[in-house]
Amino acid sequence: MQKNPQTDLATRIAGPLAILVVAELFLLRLGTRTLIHIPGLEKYETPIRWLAEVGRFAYFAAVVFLIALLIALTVRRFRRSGPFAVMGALAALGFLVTALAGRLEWIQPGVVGWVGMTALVMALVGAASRGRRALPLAFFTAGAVAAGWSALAQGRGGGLSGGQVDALLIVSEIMVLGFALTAPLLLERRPSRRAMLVGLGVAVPTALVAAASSSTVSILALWSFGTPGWLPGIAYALALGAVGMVLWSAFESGERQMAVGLVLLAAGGVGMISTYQTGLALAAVLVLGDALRPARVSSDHRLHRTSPETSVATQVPAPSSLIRLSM
Amino acid sequence: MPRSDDTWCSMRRHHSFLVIILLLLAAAVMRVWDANPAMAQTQSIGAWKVDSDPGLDGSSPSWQSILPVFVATTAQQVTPPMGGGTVERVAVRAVHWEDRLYVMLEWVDSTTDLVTDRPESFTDAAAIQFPAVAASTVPAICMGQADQAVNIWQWRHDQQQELPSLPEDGYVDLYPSDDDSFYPAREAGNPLAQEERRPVRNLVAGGFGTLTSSHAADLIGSGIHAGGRWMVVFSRPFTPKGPLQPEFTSDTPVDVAFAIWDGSKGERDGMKSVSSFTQLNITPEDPPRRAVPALGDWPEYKPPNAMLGYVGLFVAVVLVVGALIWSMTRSEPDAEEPTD
Repeated sequence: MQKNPQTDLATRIAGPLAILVVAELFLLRLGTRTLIHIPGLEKYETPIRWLAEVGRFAYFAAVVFLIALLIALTVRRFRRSGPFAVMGALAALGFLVTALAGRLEWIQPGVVGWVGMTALVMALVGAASRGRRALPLAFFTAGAVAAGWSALAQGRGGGLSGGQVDALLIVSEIMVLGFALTAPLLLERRPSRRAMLVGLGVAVPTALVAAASSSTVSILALWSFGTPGWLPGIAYALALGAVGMVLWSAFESGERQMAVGLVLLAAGGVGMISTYQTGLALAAVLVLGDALRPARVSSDHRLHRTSPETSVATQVPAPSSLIRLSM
Repeated sequence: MPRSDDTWCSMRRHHSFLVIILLLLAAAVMRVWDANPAMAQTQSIGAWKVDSDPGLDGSSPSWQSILPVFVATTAQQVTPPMGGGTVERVAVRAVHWEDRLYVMLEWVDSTTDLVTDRPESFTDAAAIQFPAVAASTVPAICMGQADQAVNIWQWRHDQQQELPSLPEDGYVDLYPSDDDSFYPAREAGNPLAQEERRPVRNLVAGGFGTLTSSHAADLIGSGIHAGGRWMVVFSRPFTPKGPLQPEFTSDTPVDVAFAIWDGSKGERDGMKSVSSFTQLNITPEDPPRRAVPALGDWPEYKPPNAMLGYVGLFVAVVLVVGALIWSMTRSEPDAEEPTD
């Protein structure tokens, strides 16, 4: 079997990226920003500042790893040289180039936004060739397009009416819900009973938190993921529960790329917030598209992905061994 | 002699480990230099140049003719017991005139709430939040960070109202002593307890429990309620008079977020409608305008590119329907078939 160091690199970068993204999300975007508003925590100001600094380093590391992953995915896709693979490669490459140009203020930010949305759609088209298992990705991409359109089409003033902005955002929220509820389609096997219990364990506390402190939860969700939280709290509880169940199931069954892709997708969110989060969503769709590739059985009866890049046989690692995913 | 598989795997692991270490080092260097490769992509709001003082009356034609940016907020369709957030959308307009920034917020509220004489009564209010240093950062500072300060402009309806005048035969009981020790809130500097009432307050928050009122009087503002909507205008010079306030320039976009409180819904403190962070861009261009609408125009007014929004909805729905049709008409590819 041929081994491809470059695309093996893509697989090996994705794991650490997922860990860094989780650290950045919980420490920076959600954690320390909430802690400084809780009365009585002034005496913990120093450790909270240290946590924030760790979260900020995790953010910078996540950005660097994300850039490296997108480059590695571009190379992998170009080497495959099929039309859908090349489409994904062009999506990643186009996004990287325009994001850099926008950061250097060589092009307008709006151009970066439109290119980002187009790249997501191109990556989705590549994944859609995998059949109904790609349906969750279609929902997510549609949600991102609707949310992004509500911002980009307005420009700096006067592009849309208030009703149109409302419609786009509610469509975005419904699409995100659709993604979460159809996420089990991404899996090769049905979720185990344990995975369903994990999903329930995520959904119930989410519903309680949403009911008890809905304003805070909504604000954090809007600023971190781009969802204004217009649907009833139970809808988001069901959505998070479904994603939690799929994530656990992916870990249990050894679908590492699937798990990593889901983490990146969730952290990226649907809102047009920054090139970092758009890049996460794009990388996630590309990674999940690769994870949906059908497996083949080799002569030694070991299950391999069709592409020559991933040559590791599927195993069933312990769900808690996140570190091992990066090795 | 060909290398064994074990040696090859070991070399690959070392290669990958080295790449990861190099990436982490690159991240550390970027952190030290604060060289952030990412850029913000949030909704942009133009602060247009106007030729005359737009004033603080948001219902005037000079304001209403400017096409707004609609920013979604965290309004709840279903209000749980703790509630919070009932205003779904705020329309934002911004202009500048003679190095002075004006920002107008407009939102739907059928009632005017200003009486706060009972614990259950709350006032209508609105706020604009900026980072203390004018910048657009990723991730945005949002509600605040342990190491970043924010500047908040807040308007309150109960502070805008004039005190009622007495009838000729009327009288008011006053506390006999005027000594500050009998007015602890005033003595402590509570801005809501001062004799001079100002509809807007300039607040700065520099970290844990440090929300204070800036005494600089350069921030002015006023709110008008008409046609079932509030129209609140804030104004401040580009260059602030106090510390921890952003200086506005045309070179630097500034992160800005908005918050709305509807007093009749029991909103106060953290229970409010909050927008996502947007970017305010000071520009020398003229504002986009339309024929002056009637005040009853909200929210059905037609923007110049009305089709643009419908196209976006169409694209989103086509993606999902197309994926559904594709997935139903296409079977799973056989595992042995070559792919791509």
